[in-house]
Amino acid sequence: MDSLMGLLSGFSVALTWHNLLYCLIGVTVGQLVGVLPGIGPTTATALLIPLTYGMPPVSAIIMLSGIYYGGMYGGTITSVLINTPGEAASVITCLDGYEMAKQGRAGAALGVAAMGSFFGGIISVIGLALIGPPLADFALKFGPTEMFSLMLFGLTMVVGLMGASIVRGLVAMCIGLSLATIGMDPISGTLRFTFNQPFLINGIDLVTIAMGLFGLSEIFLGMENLAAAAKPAQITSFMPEKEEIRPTTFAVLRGTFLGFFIGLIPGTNSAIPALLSYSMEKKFSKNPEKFGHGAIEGVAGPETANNSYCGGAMIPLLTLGIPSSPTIAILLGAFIMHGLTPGPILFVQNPDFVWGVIASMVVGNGMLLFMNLPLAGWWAKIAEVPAKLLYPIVLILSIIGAYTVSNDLWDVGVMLVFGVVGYVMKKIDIPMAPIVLTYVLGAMMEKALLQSVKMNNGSLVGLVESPISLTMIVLTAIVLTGSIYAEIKNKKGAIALEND
Amino acid sequence: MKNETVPENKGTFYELVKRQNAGLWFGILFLAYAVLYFKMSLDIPYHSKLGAGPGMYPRWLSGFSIFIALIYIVQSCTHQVFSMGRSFPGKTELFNVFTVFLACLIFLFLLDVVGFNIAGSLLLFVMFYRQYKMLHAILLSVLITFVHYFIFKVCFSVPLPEKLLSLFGF
Repeated sequence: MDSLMGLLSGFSVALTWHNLLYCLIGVTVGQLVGVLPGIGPTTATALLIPLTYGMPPVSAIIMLSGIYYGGMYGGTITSVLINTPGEAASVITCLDGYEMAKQGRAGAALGVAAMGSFFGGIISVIGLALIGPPLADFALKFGPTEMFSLMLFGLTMVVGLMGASIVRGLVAMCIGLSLATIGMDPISGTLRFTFNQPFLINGIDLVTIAMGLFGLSEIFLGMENLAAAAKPAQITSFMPEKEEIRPTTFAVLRGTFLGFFIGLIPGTNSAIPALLSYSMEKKFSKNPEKFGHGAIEGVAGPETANNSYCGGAMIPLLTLGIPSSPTIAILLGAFIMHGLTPGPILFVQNPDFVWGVIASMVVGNGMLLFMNLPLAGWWAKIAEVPAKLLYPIVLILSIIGAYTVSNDLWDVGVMLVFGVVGYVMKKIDIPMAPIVLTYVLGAMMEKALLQSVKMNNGSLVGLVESPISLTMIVLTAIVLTGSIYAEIKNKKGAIALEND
Repeated sequence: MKNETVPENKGTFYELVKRQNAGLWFGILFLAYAVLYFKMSLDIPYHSKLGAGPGMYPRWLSGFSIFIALIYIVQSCTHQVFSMGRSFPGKTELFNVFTVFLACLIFLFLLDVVGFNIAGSLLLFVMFYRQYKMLHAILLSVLITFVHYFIFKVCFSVPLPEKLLSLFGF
C-alpha cells in the first residue's frame, strides 16, 4: 500500500510540465540513438550527463533514464528494417525481425515489438514499485559463483540454439570470448594480448565489433549486387495475423517476467534476457523451425524482455546502489554527481525523487508507444530508401558511430576488419550473434569465475556446492547434450537422405 | 566438343580459388589464431598470490578453441563443405565489395589529412558514381556528408576532423 501511495505521489512529480519535457527529450534522444547504429544508450547517456549539471536532480535522472529505456525501443527499428542493431539487446531481434521485413511484414514486427515493449516496460515499472525491495533481497544471493553459472547457461543457449551447427556456434563463441580477454585482466589489472599498444589497454569496444559484424558486413553483402538488394515491402499493418495473436501474447508475458527477473541480478545486461527469451520461445514454439526465418515470437519475446529488464535493472540501483548494466553504471555516476547516494536510504531521504523517477518511466513508456506505433511508419521510411542510397548513408553513419567511441580512427579500422570477418562468416554460415553476445558476457564471466575460484581457495568446487549454481550447471549440461544429440541426429538424417 | 571435356579456363588461378574449400581455409585460420592465442597465454601467469592468475582463463579457453578448430576442420572436410565457388559471388560482385572496402581504407588514410568533409564526400562519391549521373553523384556525396557533419559535429559535439571548414573560419 505504501508503494502504491508512493507511486501516486511520484506522478505528481513526473507530470509537472518541465519534467514531462525532460522525459520527452530523454525518450526521443533514446529512440534516436537506438536507431542510429553505433551510438547506443550508454554513449548517449555519458555524452548528455554534462548537460544536466544545471538541472534539478529529479529532472536530470528522468531525462537520462529516458535515454536508457528509449534506446531499447529505437534499437528495434533498425534491427527489423536494415538488420543493423542499434544496441546489443537488439542483436537477437535481427534474426527474425529482419526476416519478417524481407517477407514484407516489417509493420507486424515493429507493431508487436512496440506493444510488447510497452507492456513489458509498464509491468516492470509496477513490479519495481511493488515488489522491488523483497526481490532485490533474493538477487543478493547471486554471488560470483551463481553469476558464472548463469552466464555459462546463457552462453550454452547461444551456441546450442543459434545457427544450424553447434560446432560453428562454438567457433563463434570462442572468438567472442577470446576477444573479451584483450586488455586488462578484470581482477589483477594485468595487461593481456595488447601487443604494447595503448589503444588495446581497455580492450576492443563492443560497438565497433557489433557494427562491423552486423552493419558493415550487411553493406558489403548489399553492394555485391545493388539491383538485387532485398527491400522490404510496403508496410500495411502493425498487427500480427489472427493465428499469431495467441503465441505472441504468451511470448510477451514470458518475456516480461524473464526480463524483470534478470534485471534484478546485478552484473547482467539487457542482451541476456533478450537472448534467454529467444531461446525460451524457440523451445515453447510449436514451429521451432520457423525461428530465424521470421517467427513473430522471436521478435515479441526478446523485445518485451529487454524493455522489462530496464525496470527490473533499476531495482538493484535504487535499493542497493549496485549498477546492473553499463548504462545503469553511468546513471549511478549521474546520481553521485547530483549529490544523491543510491541505496535503501534513498527511499527514506528522497522519496519524491525515487517515486518521481519511477512514475516518469510509466509516462515515458507511454510516449514511446506513441512514437513507435502511430509514428512507426515514419521510421519505416528508412526501408523505402533505395539500396544504392541507403547503404552509403548507413556506411557513413557506421563510420561516424565507430569514430565517436574514442574519437579515434583506430575504432573505424577495427570496425572495417570486423566487417570483412563478418562478410566471410556470413558466406560460410557461421553465426555472428554468439560473437557479440559472448563478447559482452566474456569479461564478466571471467571475473565471476576467478572470484569464485578465489573464494573457494583455488577450487572450482563452489560451482556445484551452491544450489542455484548447480541448477544452472545441470541446465547447461542438458542444453549442450540436447544440441549435440540434435546435430548428430540431423547429420544422420542428412546422410540417409543423400543415400536415398 | 573440346569445351565440354576440358573447360577453357580450368587451369586459371580464379578457377583454382573457386574450387577451394572455404570452410577448411577458415578452419585453418581459426586454428592458427587459437594456437597463437594459446602460445601467448603461456606468457601470462597461471597462478597468483590469491589462487587463479590472469593466465588461467585464456589458457583453458585457447585449449578449448584449438579442440573446436580441429573438429570444425574435420566437419568442413566431411559433412559441411563450403566451396569458394558456391559460397562467394562472381568477379563483378566481389569487385563491387572490394571497391567499398578500398574506399573505406582511403577514407581512413585521408580523414586526418583533409578532414571529414572531403574524405566523407570522396568515400560516398566512390559508392555513388556508378549508380548516379556524375553531377548527381557529386551533389549527393557532398550534401549527405555535410548533413552528417552538421548532425554529429553541431548537435552531438562529436569532434570530427574539419580541415576544410577551418579554412573558412568555422
